[in-house]
Amino acid sequence: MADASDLRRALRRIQPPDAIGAERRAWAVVRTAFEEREPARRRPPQALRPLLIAAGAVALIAAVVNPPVLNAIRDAVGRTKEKKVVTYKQAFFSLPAPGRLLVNTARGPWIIRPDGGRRLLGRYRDASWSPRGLFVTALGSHDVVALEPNGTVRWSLARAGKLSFPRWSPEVDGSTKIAYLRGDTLRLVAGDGTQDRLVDAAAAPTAPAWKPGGFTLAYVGGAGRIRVVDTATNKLSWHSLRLPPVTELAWSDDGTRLLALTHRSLIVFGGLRGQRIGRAFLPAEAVAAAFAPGSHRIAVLLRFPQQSAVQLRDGDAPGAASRMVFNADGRFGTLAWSPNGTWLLAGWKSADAFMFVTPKGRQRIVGDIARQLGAFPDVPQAGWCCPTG
Amino acid sequence: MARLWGGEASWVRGAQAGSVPDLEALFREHWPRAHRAAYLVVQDAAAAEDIAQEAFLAAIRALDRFDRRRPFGPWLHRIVVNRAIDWSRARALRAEVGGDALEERASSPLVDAAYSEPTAAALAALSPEHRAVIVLRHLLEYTPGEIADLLDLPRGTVNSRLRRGLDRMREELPEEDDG
Repeated sequence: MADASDLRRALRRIQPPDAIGAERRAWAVVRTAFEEREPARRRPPQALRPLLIAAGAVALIAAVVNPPVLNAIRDAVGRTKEKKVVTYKQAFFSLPAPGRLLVNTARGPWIIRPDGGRRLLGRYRDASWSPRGLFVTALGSHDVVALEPNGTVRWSLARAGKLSFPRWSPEVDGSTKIAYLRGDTLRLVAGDGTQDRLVDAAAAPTAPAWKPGGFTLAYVGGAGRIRVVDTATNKLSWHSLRLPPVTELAWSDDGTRLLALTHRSLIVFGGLRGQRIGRAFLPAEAVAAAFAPGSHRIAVLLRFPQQSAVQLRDGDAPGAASRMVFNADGRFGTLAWSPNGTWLLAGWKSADAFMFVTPKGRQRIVGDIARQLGAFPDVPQAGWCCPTG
Repeated sequence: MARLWGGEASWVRGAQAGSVPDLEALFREHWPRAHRAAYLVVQDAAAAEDIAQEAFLAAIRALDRFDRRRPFGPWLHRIVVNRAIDWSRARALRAEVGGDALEERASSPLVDAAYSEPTAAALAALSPEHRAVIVLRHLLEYTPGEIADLLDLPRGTVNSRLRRGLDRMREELPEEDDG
């Protein structure tokens, strides 16, 4: 470094790794953010928004006794960009795809069968399916429980402190595990309720996510980094940089993608080494996200101040342009893909309805949910499990 | 940057009117230097990408309020370099707090093995504040007075950091072999 010009040349020679890829990803994000700032200007005047929400809710309530009001619902959902086919149901005559739906409400978790039959499992919370849908894990007042789908308790593990987010692992050689949080700690218990042990003494309040096909677990550590651990060997496979608070983690079915949802962004990592595939800065509060079964497509539930929307994004390029599947006034609160990936469930809380939509735009609405379930589902993630179940 | 000024003002005007091609022209013009500057200050590829990307997003959010009579580059570089300094300080703080044993056992793919070029290594020996002034002066070619404005520092502090930073880099660089 003889002089300033030598230093300048040397600095210019230093290229950040993957500079071309970084530029491509950044441009996709910047362009999306730029394009998405336009629709905000065209939104209805502030004074009209409460009326639009009220119209949607009133239309659905009225539909219980007056099915012709379907036209009003069509109006409410008709602002989406594509032509829709809307079917309205007053009750759960059937689910639009095979599998059983598990939703959590203030009264407890419900299982809804394909024919529309439903069962309340009891006074539990935060229920989720076992890998083949043979059991459900949930939380009682002070215990982790394993239940059969008819509500029978298989085992219960009493633990002091605040319990949260029990999640059942895939099955490996006939054995399974359940990860859960106790206070700020991450713990594991075998699928038969034995061998309860500590995994990490510092975990953030985010549901852990099992990688398909094994005992590898992703969770958010106390320092705000995602950690991916092989729980069979207790070795860390990789960790991320420190992130804004992560509200959700989810793996793609093939285990090659891990999504992390934060308040306003969606980040996708490579599943093997944790390289960052991309990041999407979202135009509104992110409520939930889920990979479509068997693909890298991601559905993202967004909540604007007066509206909610479901977007589809590419998990291989999450910052690229998104596609709006459905949007309407009011609040959506629950998201789940059908096991065959053909239907999406969005819980439309302010309209007391379940909105089933396909990526191509077919829509089916089931209303009067709070009366049927005793309360509207209050957890963003629902489980729609297992076509053979 | 003077040669770009006419085109740049027109790109800003176009972007303010909603033109994607004009926004892209601005992005393509400024991304490489913004990204490289962030990388040289933070020395972390993922963080540099984030910082440069978020700086552009911040610029877009404020685009309608941007004064077209001013050049775009310094506005962007102010955001990039200040965020890069903040990120580096935060990382240093986290390192002091320490991670747990599990994390220390991990081999992080995010550590940039490529950061071994002698100049880069010499730069890495500096504090983020010193790296920032070196990058602003010798990569982005701002004058000490302009750097003082960008970083909200007294000009004397900028000159002092430049001098000490360069001295330290010379100490870190290997002796040149004329043979």
